[in-house]
Amino acid sequence: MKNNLLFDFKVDKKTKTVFVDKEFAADLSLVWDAFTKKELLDQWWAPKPYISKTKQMDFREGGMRFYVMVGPEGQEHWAIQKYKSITPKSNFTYLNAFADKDANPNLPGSDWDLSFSEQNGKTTVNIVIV
Amino acid sequence: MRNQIVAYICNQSVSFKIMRRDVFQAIADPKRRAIIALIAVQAMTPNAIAENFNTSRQSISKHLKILSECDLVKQEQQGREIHYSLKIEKLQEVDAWIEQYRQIWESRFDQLDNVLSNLKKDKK
Repeated sequence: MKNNLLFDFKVDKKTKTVFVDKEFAADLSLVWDAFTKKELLDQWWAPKPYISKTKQMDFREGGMRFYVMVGPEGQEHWAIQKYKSITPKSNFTYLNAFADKDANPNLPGSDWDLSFSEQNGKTTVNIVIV
Repeated sequence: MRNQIVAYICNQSVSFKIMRRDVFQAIADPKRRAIIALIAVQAMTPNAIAENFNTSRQSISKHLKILSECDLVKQEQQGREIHYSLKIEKLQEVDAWIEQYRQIWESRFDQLDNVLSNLKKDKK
């Protein structure tokens, strides 16, 4: 990575938990938007060369994001994120699962917990995936 | 013709075996992970391994067979006994596999850093 911002990726094999911690040179409201607005999410969510297309997104507790990752050969991987809890500009949790084209999830999927905090104009996001 | 069919069936079973037996299957079971931890320290006989568990010697043998098929252990004959030890380099495949996911996140966050810096420019 080209800057000095924190990036940490850890896997606890015993508890099958993934921890991702990342610091951003932006204030919290901007980072929160980038994680919770579909037009921004689609600009970064898919790792290259994939692109992310959000078909439907209802960011509220009980709502969901239904999106597809499209590969360079046109491969489509559909997935859903069902929001379980939202504390604005602080934390949100969801169930993530691959899905078919009609948004039927392929369970069990994984539980995601994302926490946001700001210090000295930098925002840290802590992601826990179980 | 018949030989061809037999060869085909054998190849099928070989490829099936390769698919089924890999390091990820080896570490999928808690007892096998415990065995791995034991023999990582020193080579041990099946009996010595079994003394650490509340299960039968047969159950330990079954797990050792799977670990062998996953190519995670080496066997060494010492007199009448077989000692099992860990091929620790095979476990690095797990780290390599995890590393891919680290790279996915890195690629994602590179893009997000750009999105955020563009958003900041737009704001000004």
